[in-house]
Amino acid sequence: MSKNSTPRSGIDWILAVYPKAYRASHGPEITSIYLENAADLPAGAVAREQADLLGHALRTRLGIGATHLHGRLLALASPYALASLGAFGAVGLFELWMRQADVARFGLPAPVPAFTQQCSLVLSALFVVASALGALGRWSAARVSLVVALVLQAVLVVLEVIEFAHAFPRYGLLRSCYEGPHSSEASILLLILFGVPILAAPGELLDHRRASHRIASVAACVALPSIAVAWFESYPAQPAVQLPLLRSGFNLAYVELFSWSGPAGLLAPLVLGTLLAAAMLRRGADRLEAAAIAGTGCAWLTLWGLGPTRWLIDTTLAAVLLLSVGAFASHRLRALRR
Amino acid sequence: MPERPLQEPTLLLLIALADAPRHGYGIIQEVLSISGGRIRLRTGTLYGALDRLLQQGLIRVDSEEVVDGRARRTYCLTEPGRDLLTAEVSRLHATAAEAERRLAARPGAGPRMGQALP
Repeated sequence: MSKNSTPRSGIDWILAVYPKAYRASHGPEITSIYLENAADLPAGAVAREQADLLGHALRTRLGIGATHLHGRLLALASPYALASLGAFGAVGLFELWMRQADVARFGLPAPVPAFTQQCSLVLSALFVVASALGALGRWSAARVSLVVALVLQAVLVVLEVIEFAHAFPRYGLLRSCYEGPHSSEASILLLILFGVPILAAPGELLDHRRASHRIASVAACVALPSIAVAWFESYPAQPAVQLPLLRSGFNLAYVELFSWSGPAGLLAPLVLGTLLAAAMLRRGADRLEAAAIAGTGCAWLTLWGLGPTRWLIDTTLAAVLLLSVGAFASHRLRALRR
Repeated sequence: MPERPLQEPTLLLLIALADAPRHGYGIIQEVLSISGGRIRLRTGTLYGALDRLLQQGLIRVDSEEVVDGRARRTYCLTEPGRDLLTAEVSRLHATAAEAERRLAARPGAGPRMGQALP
């Protein structure tokens, strides 16, 4: 075993992540248990042990642990977020299939290069796989799939900006970030909104038995309206409005926002989320879970930023950023006062 | 009785503390043993669960000591924790008994395992 993979090598910096008061109270005990637990483990298992401990340290630091209200909220929202991602991926796969069919049917040139098609295919498939893994109770594997997909999507955003800057040199690279491709920008905000609960929720609060059937049924309810609308409208792809790397998949709503079906496709998850939340409140269920469901439905609103109402996505981004900074600052202030 | 069944790691953790107070590593070892080697709690997961159960008043710190230079805090069940575990065990018993009854009631069902043939 190399020096870097020994249990002792990682514990100090992980402990530094804990809030000062928690570290003073639990640090020696955590170190002791961790060292005993990781003593005979192989390097890979030590890394997983460290990742688990780091996750606990981060959640405690950010106030989203199992004992915090925000931690409970994230855990309750995560099945619905994973279902939404599955629906997102399923719609993306359907869109790719339709686009290919249109290209073949109308003899159109391929609207996007093979590389983008492949990226879109991999991304869509990763979201469907993550959702399916979550439905099967394999939460860790679902999280790994999601991380890979988010990294891939981030790379694609950068590629799209570069491509845009190349196609319109007068904009330059910096201005291209704002003026350029909006599709991935909206997609990645949506993915972050869905990804945060899945990645950050305290594992011990995840109720796998309840989550499984919810993921499958909610994903189907969210994806099917969009797929059905696209199927019945079924018009050819629109090569004239596309740049070689402009679209990265999942953008059924982008094409459709300019007709009645785009808003309809986006309204489906919103209406579903609201109805589910209202039904749960009427049954006297946990208000926090109702809020989590309604919030997940509202996240779809970010896709409106793809169309003429782009100001909405900028406002949302700014609001999310301000709220995050405010929450972090207030948390830090409270921690310093303790 | 709890509204929802306990999740397996929580149930195993409460079972591990049912007969005696235990420190963190002792709990990990007990859970590993009770689950037949299937569930090995990681340190972060254990602490997340301990924090939550302490906050819910289902367990409490029994003692704090230093053994061989290592800090050890032992945890034990509280009365509400014992009541919750008892209720969960009753629920599991009832489920198992119902499953056995239905299996035995199936037309043409053979003798139960371990039962002598006539």
